[in-house]
Amino acid sequence: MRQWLDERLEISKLERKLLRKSFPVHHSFFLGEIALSALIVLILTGIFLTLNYEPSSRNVTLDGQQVPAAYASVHRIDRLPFGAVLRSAHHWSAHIMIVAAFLHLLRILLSGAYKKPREVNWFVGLGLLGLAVVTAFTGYALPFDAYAVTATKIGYGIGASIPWVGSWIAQTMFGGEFPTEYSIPRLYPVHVLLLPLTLIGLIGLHLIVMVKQKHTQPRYAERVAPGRVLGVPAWPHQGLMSGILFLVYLGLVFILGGAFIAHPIEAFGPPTAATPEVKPDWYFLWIYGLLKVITIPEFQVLGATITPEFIGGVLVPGGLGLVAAALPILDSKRDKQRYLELPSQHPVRTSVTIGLIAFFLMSTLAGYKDELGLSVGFLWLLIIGVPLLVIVAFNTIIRVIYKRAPTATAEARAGD
Amino acid sequence: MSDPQSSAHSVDADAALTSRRAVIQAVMGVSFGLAGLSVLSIAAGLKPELEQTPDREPVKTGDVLVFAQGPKAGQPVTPDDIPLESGAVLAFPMDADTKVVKGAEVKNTLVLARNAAGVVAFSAVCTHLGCTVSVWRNDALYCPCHNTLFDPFDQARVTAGPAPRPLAALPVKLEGNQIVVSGEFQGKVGV
Repeated sequence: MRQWLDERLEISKLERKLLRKSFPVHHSFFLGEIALSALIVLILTGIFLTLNYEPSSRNVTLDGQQVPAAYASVHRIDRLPFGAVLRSAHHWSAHIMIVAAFLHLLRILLSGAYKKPREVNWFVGLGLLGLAVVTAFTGYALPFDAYAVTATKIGYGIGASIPWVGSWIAQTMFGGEFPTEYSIPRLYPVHVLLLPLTLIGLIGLHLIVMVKQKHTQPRYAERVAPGRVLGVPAWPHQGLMSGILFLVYLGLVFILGGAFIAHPIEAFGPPTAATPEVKPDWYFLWIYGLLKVITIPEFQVLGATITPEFIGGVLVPGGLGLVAAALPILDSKRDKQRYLELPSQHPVRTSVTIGLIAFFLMSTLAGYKDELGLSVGFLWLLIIGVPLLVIVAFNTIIRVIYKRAPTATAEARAGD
Repeated sequence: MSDPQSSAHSVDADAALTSRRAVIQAVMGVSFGLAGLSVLSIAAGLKPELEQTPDREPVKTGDVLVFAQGPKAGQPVTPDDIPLESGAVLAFPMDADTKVVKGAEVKNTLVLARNAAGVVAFSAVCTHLGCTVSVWRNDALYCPCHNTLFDPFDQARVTAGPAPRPLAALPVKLEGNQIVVSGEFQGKVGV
């Protein structure tokens, strides 16, 4: 059989070329693999969900009450054997994928792996993170309970706040002025077809470019085998590690899904005329906080109305994305980057990264403005002041601790 | 021995070939570009057109305000149903003739408040991001999404929070014990 295939497809040649490829090993390289494992679980559990979900907001009777069909079908999914567990595993996997992708980005950022020749994968990776967040968001509305409808309505409002084109974009994406009877039939194919296919395509590109360019190697590789790629073979070593990681992930996410039922729709109930008090998922809390503290009145620019929700919901996140995309162009390098850079040897980049995390945390804090009884002015002081303070403090600390001029040997030794 | 004439000829042939290739490439480029642009005509149909049904008609003068939710949903609101300066009531307009409650259109959601001077009605759609303003807190109408406070007895002025403009006011009058719409929204409804 094997020989039969080999004579026709030359698989031995492929094996020699691909399976013996050497993969550098470092524990931080597994973050991207965790995101990939999460996506596989998302697709598998998602297929189960699509088979039992009804993408419609027509009214049906559930336990003597008129509710949207989508809501009733999620209710039915929860009562299927393992239905609630699979739905919860889907929900938690989405969270884990976004955490893993964000930490993966931080790893690339702190180790300087975005530099030449890996700019392409930095852009693709940024696109993947954005797509992952948008895909998660389009899934919010699908249970069509009071909470889901409110959260999605806010997303519609942010989209519609874009000058000139916002109304068209938001109405196309959400099927009219959300919620309408076209909203679920529109968001559903976007969530289960359009965005996942784009994600899979981009991940394929991400992996092909990674295999072609290889990882930035840990520094010890420079001493052990200068100028060569030091790692384990793709098969069986790397393949088995990835496989075991996936199985461990699968086990953990199902324990999580079994122990913590996600988004209990009965607790929120079907949508009503009133709005429940909702908070978005953790990865949107910083935008939610910014929306609360940007309290300037709207103003006109070139016939367009610039509203505070456009600034907080589109301009700030979009601006951060643009800065991230410009990074490999601004911080470029003439030679090809072969080895991981040490955060301690790049104090400005490291402290600005920590400052950015401080900004996210302070903006998230602003999301709890009323619970904490903090004023808008004080929160602005925190949102702007704390990151600046953090940047100056970390820059100073790193420079004091690692005051020796960076040399190749010092970096190599510290990187082991 | 070299033949200057023949070599000149071959250069000419090369130039001719190059320009022919350039023309073909330009024609192909333009064709593919136009073919790509024609796909945009499909995008024009992506924004759905909502069917106008009686329960989605806009608010009009003469509509009677009815409860939007709760045990009395669909019944006319009387001034006594609205707590005096201590609570808000969500209402939908009901066509006075056909008795159709126009609650299928989110922009028809109204919020009512009352003080000694009488009943006031506003669009309940928050001007920030479209949540329903229906909570009474700190002696004002409160949006639960991003915590804007609107003063219902001062044209729904924003007293705290991020909303960029006041809620749109809807003139109402009393007919018997029912609250009836007596004009059009003053200001833009919704986001």
